[in-house]
Amino acid sequence: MKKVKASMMNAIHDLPLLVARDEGFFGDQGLDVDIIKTPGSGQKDSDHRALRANIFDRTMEALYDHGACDQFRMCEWGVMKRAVESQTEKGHRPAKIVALGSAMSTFAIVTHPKTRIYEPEQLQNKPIGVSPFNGSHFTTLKLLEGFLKRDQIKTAFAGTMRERIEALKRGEVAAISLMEPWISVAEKNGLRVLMESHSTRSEAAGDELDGPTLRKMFEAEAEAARAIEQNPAKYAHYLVEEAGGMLELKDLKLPRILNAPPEPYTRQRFQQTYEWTRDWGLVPAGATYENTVDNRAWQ
Amino acid sequence: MSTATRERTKPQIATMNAVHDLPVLVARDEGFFKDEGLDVEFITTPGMAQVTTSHFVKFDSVFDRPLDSVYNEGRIDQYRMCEWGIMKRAVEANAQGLRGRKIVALGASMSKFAIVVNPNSKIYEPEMLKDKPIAVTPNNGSDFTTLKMIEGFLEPEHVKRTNAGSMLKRLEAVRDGKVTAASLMEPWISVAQKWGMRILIESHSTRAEAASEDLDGDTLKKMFRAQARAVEKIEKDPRPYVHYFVRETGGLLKPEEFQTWRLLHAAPQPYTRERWDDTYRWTVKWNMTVPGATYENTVDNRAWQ
Repeated sequence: MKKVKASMMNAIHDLPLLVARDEGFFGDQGLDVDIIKTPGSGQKDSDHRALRANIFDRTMEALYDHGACDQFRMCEWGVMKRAVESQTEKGHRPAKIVALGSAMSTFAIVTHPKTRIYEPEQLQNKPIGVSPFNGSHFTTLKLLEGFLKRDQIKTAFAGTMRERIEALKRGEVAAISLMEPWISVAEKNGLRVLMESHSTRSEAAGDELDGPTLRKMFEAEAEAARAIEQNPAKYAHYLVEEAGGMLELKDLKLPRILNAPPEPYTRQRFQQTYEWTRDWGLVPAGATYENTVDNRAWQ
Repeated sequence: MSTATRERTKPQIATMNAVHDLPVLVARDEGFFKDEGLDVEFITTPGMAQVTTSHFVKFDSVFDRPLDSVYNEGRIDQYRMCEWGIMKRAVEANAQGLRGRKIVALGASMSKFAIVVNPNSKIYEPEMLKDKPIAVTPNNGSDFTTLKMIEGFLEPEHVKRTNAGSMLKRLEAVRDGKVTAASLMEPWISVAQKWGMRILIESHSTRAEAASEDLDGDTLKKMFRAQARAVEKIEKDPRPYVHYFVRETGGLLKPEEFQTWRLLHAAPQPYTRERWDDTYRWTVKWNMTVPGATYENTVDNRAWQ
């Protein structure tokens, strides 16, 4: 069995990985995948280790830098930022984008009914709680760009998913960006979902992981994506557990769970996503498809 | 003032699709208009949400559509649509010398629109709709809200909209693989979910209220107060009003299958200059209306004066 060290943070983004491990799909591929659980922002008792100002100081990124794991996934734009900056900043272990990921996680922008905000345009110049440079941040920009001018979109740090729900209830922010299971927790608490969308992950890996091994990992994840689609309720417990008693299975909106087989990360996709991320000033200039992407799993 | 208008003695309000007109329907059926001393006549025109609507709207002229043409003939004084649709009509009626109408309020219904695809497709998120046809009603809420929702994910030239008919027709077109995606409102988002379709993105969106000069500010104020009372009732418990939606689907949806959590309403509000500036600029940017309009010749908040 080939040993692989992959990391996970939040169940909604890592569900195919967890299911592939627990259903034995990695084993079927001849892989022994060790999933290193790192702190995320989506567990009830999450602290701020995954939210430090410098992304490379965050636990998962630091573990990757020090070689404790070889492969991770995050929102597409977050992986873009990390892949580009690991090349352009000194002292970091390079990571390349090796696939468009499985989890098409839903993010939602949520307000409190007492704010009298009923639709996205009413968020003009109002603070929205996000995790800076993570999925909730990037997806908020994507969601709002059609409704507001860029300088009218105001994002703010408001802690973990649970903490930002509390910040919203206290009126410290006008809105918050959430992923599951916290969208369902928000709904259970009577908060208002203004808009929501599925969004993309990317898979990143160090050079230590060869193409055939990555391919086997992605085939196992694809098998897991099919299993989840057939019976999402069977795997919803991973999400319910993160809510630490604040949510029951019946309260989780299962149609929000969506996963697909990993795919090669195309040049066209790189160009658009890199340009968009750079245009927002979220990543430095100078990266190329060649030094950022490696589809070796399909070569 | 048209002859038809002059002969009438009571305001005539149009209703089309339940999701946009729910506060009007509830205010009518709960007697809230009467409580305000209003004797209102309700004119129902065909909308894209009714299973019985089989016509294909014309892309080139919004003024040929059922509600618009009835309004032009003077048989309706007041109606509501998506904010951008009202903007287009208010601006272009002036430009084309048609019966005038002004934006008289930000409307009550914060209707949800959703973009759905077939579950067998390999489209999982909005960026994957690049250069793929999305079925909408041109120049209506499903069209404008599609642009708003997609604009952060795709460059404008990669957003492709098409006309595939009513909500039912476009849902069938998605199911049958004739179109990649469709923009839907309720009750058709609920029908899509029942059919196992995949919802990529959804958002609440705004209505605006339009009226002719034949309705004075005091009457409009009473109408909006009646709608505001209806909003309170709906927000408290929407279930008694699900039947309006179920009826539109002609048996395709049972009451318990309608997703009431998507309903959201607020009391009508004055239409602000800032809002007008932002919305008009956006609508002109997308070439959805003509330039040259002003807040003064397009908006009239007389209900609050």
